[in-house]
Amino acid sequence: MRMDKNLLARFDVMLLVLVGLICGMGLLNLFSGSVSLNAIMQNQGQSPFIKQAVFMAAGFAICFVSQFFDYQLLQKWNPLIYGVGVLLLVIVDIAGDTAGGAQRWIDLGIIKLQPSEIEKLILVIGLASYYARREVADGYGIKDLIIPALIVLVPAGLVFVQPDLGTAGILVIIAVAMTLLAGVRLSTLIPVALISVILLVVVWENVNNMESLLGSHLKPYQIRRIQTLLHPELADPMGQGYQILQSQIAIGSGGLTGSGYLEGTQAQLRFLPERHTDFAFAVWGEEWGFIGSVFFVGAYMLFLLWGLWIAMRARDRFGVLLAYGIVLMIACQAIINLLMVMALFPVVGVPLPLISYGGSSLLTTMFGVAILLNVRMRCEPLPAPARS
Amino acid sequence: MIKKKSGIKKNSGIKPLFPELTEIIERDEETVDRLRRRTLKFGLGIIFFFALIIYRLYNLQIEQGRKFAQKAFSNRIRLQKLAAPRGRILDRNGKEIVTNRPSFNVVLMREDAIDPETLVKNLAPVLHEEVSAIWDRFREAANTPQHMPVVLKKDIDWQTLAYIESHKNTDFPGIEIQVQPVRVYAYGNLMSHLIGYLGIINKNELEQLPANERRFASGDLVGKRGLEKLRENDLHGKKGEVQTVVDSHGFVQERDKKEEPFPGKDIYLTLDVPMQRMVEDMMARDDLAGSAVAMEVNTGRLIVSASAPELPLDQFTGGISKVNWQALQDNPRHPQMNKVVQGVYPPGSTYKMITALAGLASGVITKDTTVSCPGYYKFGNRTYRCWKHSGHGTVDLRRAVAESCDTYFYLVGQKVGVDRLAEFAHKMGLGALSGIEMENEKTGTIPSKAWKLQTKKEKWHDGETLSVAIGQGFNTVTPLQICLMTATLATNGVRMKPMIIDKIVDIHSGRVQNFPPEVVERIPLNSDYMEIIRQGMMDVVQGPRGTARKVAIKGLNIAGKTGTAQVASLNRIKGLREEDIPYKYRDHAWFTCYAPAEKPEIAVTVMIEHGLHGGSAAGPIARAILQAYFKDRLPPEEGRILETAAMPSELEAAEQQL
Repeated sequence: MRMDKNLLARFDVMLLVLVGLICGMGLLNLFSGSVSLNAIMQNQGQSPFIKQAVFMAAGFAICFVSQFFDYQLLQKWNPLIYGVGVLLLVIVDIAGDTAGGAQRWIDLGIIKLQPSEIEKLILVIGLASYYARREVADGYGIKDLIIPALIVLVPAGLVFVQPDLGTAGILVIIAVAMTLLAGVRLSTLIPVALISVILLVVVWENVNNMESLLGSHLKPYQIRRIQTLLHPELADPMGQGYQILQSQIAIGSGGLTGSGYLEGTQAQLRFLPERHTDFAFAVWGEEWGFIGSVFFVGAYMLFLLWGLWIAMRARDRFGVLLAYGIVLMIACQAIINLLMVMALFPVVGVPLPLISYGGSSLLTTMFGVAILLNVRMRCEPLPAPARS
Repeated sequence: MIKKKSGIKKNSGIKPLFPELTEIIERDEETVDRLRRRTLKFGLGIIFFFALIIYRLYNLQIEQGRKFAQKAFSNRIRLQKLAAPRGRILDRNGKEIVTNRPSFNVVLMREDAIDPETLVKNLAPVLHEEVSAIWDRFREAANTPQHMPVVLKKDIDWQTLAYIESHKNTDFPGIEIQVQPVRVYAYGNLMSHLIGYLGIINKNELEQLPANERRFASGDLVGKRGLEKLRENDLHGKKGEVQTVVDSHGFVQERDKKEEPFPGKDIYLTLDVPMQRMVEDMMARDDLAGSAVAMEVNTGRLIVSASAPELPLDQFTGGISKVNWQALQDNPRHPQMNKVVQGVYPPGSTYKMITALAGLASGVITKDTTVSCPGYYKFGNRTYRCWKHSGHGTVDLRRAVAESCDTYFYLVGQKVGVDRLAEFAHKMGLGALSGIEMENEKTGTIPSKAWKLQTKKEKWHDGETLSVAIGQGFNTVTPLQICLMTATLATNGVRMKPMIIDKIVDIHSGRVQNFPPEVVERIPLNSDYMEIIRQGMMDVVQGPRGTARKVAIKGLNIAGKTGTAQVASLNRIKGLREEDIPYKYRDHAWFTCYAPAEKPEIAVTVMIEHGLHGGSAAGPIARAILQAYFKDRLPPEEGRILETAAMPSELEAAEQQL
């Protein structure tokens, strides 16, 4: 497809700058978080820093290349994309690599693909396509919501049995928030919300009964998987209390100005668990202090708001929903992760997009950014090509 | 591609603050417009949460910053697991067979090692290790969580221990000494098949554990074979925990014991160490392969359970090498096999008691039925030989048992039929699992017409019944089953469950789990039949023409039976003298007995692989067991067996007392 000059003029440099800034901070932080015994011992090729940098470069390349295509194609290809997403989740459930009692990865040799990460974006595309096609004047009723419910529950269920409660939760949150954006009739919203809350409470109260009920029918390893889901603290010998305490100590000890880059004792002495993945921000907080943290958080917020700005300016319903969904996907992960690291949210395995180490999450987020750029670029109808 | 949007109005009056926003809102596409307004609300939501995050940052870093900085500097809490001593294994009299001793491992807490390179360089000469070897340990542990200690060297000596203990807080930050109990085998390989050994838990075993059984971590030792494996849950105990506080340089500031480890439970076996030792030594001395079982007939408790050659435990600790494993596998004497329950052999003439019983019970013969033995038996167009080629002459049942006349039992077997034989064999415990706590127990085979049709898809030939009647043919049994059969003959049909565990004692709570005798089956047997078989068996040992006269012990009546199990068809060894027959073609030798014959207490079965003759190969070991068991009730010259058998540890103890 031809790249029009008018399109190029609307390339959103500001978004790209913000993303670049955040990625840069992420890399800097990852380097600090992984300068350790492990990094020295492992060959350079396997260093997380280099791996992440390569993925980042790939992400930016995607951002540029994908501009040649109209985001409308996503709506067209949605059934295929959605199908592939579900297929990958099924494969990972059956034949995936196991880590910590959960199956999450498909080993592709070069990278370990984590389909549940990619599924977040696929879900956004799926729901945006559905709601864009189906316009109603006064909000959706219960019948209209059956298909979206299926769209989210199939992948969320597959992720849940891995088991990965955190990602399944994110998928549900994305779906609910996108549905609310699309508009729901009040007469539908209230009963559905009530029933959901009651159902949640009932399940929560009966977790233990369910366990013993399931226990009599399942194989030991299956029981173990369910138990790691219900009692994640058992999968972690040090306990979450330790993680969360060390994370708080790290951030708090940063003070106003921080302990200085590569100087954080919490991180460098490896008190901090998961310091290059879920708890990456704690390293930043310790080394850069309040000033650096506010800068970081500010930049992140600006990035998200800029994304929403793009959503508002999209040329059509699909564009709005798509851009909104992507911002939502990034925002809810970022907010949950930051609150978790600062002990305001229970520990669930949710990464900080663009910052946490992990190829699948990074590439998914960069794909999202690429779509945002694309929506922005095609936000207005083009003037008819000038004819000479 | 791009649709033309209609109705874009521009407010050209006052210049608005955000011209683009006004423009967007003024596009009159109602539904899209509504979406946009909701999006704006979502933006407010994002701002709210980020404000909360910034407030929390302020709270943690500015308001509580000093407190956390203090904590970061001084308070580093570590949880370390303390290994629990594994339960001991003792014999029936409380003699320790397997115990523990503390061993000291040098471990590194990676989180505390600030400068690992210098540390390793300084540590290597102290541990007498290459620097690269220590780095290898690091690399092996690269995938384990950071807070898990890395074992750099196991089981260091006292000098090294003393040096590291006194220097670790000045020279070796991050180095700790970990105490780990290790297994001590007081009698070397004694009962090695039965007790088994430990090994490092593998990924599979770890995965199989349910989540609440997380007492194991990678690197832990678990039972891999024998009782160590079967009774893992009783033996392993519960780990303790210690809290350590280190400063930011990795030096230990204080220790706080949170939970003491619970030792595992002690297992008392029914076996008797001195007798077991004597048997294993005898078999090792004569380089015999085979097994010996002694069982209390009234309780089913085993006193001796020996399988030779022994399993070389020292090869297995710390993981056996491929070469050693292959050598054990290829050894024609099968040291890997616990032959008591895993060895299956034709029962040979020990089976004749079954044939006799079946004959009596089905009325085919009475105790007075006589048969004339010319040294062979003609059936159909084939001739079946008696082992005594010159023939036994006219024999009754008692003599047939005593002299093991094949012709007699060919006839009985042929009249009774194979299915009836199988029925009695099963009743007496042959061809079935005994349920003893030993691994991979084999059932053996007791053939019947239905069995052959099912497994071989062939009809039963009556000639085959003759082979079965004298314990050859398709018949295979384990030595434990023959011992069980003998014990059941001794008790007139009360079949007990064989056991090797006497009790399990939890030292911590003082709770004792007992294992009372279990009757598996009471077989209704006519005591007249039992009596005639008993007399025949007594003649085997005490009679003038018995096949095991050498076993006889003055002052003790023994009822026994020899057996010779053919391994190769006669053609292979035709014309060879016994000592010229290759080892693998030699006959297996059985001897089984109970005593005292008039009021039985103990049944003894000895099986020597390729031992040729029951009486001469297996007999002496059975005799020694009986002598040892009855030593206090026998005349002095017969009861001295245990003192002559080598027993260094007891002799040493005696010397020390002197």
